[in-house]
Amino acid sequence: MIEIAASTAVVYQRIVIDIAMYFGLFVIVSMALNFQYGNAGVPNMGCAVSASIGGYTVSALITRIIYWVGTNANIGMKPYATDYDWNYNNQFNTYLMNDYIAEHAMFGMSMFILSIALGFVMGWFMGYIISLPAIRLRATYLIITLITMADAAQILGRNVVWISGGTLGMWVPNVLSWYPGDRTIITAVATMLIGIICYFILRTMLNSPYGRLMRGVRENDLTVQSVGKDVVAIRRNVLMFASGITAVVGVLIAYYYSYVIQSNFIRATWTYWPWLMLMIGGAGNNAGTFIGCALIIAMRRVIIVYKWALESFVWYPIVIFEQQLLATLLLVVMVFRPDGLIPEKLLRIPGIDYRRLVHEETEVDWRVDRIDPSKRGGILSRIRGGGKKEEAE
Amino acid sequence: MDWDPILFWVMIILWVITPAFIFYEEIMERRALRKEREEVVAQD
Repeated sequence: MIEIAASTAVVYQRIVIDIAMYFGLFVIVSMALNFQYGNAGVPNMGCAVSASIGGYTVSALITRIIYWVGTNANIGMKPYATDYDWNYNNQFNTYLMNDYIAEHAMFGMSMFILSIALGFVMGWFMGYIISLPAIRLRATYLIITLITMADAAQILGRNVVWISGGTLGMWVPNVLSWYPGDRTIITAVATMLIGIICYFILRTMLNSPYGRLMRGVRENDLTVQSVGKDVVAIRRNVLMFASGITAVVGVLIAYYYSYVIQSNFIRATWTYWPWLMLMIGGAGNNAGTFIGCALIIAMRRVIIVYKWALESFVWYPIVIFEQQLLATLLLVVMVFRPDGLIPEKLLRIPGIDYRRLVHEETEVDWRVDRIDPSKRGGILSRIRGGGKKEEAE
Repeated sequence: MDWDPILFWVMIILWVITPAFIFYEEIMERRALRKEREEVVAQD
């Protein structure tokens, strides 16, 4: 009896860790999406590209670096240079490296930090690449181009073996194997901490003058362009930065699964679900993003865990219940609450007295315009001879 | 030392505190905006 109770507690603990992990991951993706669409008006339908780049960074770059260190440490690594060896010796090499990292905690930690940094840089660079053909386009064409790029990233991952093991996928070394307990808990804690850091970075950016510029671009890009701002550059910068943040999520999911395969980064999971979270919560504010994310993650996890119990309530195959939920929720939100559960508010930056800005008594002496320019003084009047006249008088 | 329970509860605390902080901030901002709007209306 005690054993059953203990195992039930372990199962519930696993569900809680899983929900926390996915909550952390999707909050980061949704915040990045909110940064792009909610504040700059860039409808990025290619979040899956950035997430997959993060995963591919771990599988193609970080794993190679770790294997290279293992080869130089002479721990009996098998060859991994060819595609065949890369795939079929991958399990053995990863197993050896996990043992090596368990004894060298500093190496594991440095690889973890390096992978986060490298994932961000690669995502940032990929944001630049995807922005090249797309960013000058209007919303509809931009969306189509980015969706196509998400598919292209998956096709590349499926066919180029050295990126992520092709169709078989590949195991990645557990850089947190120095931790003696359950690695998923420490990965979930790290994810939530990174989520908090991302939140503060994005919040600071949105409260800065650049954040106000982004909102200006969203509201009327022609006006912003007319005052000398480069709208294309602003959109590109936003896309690059948010792409970098989304790529960090790809890195974290790779370590959570300890496995990378292209089918982990499908569009439904990494583009449409975050969009639904944003639409439900309300674009343009972080509280809405959080509430949308919490609702969808909780619903999805409950459906996945209790699918067998829900089967008797639906007449169609239960496997498509999640997709049905996505479509129904999106329709309901778009019809009844197009602004989301928490609508966007005016931008308020602490420390700025808006009343003074708006209601300051400003006295302008419009008569200045009626004075003859030659009599005003200054350089122009001197050129026209006004100053000399006054001096002579 | 078994770190799992400690980290588990750290995770739960982060899970609760972060959204609570964000909602608190959102509510305070909305309240401040409403107050400013009311004062502006009263001045006009």
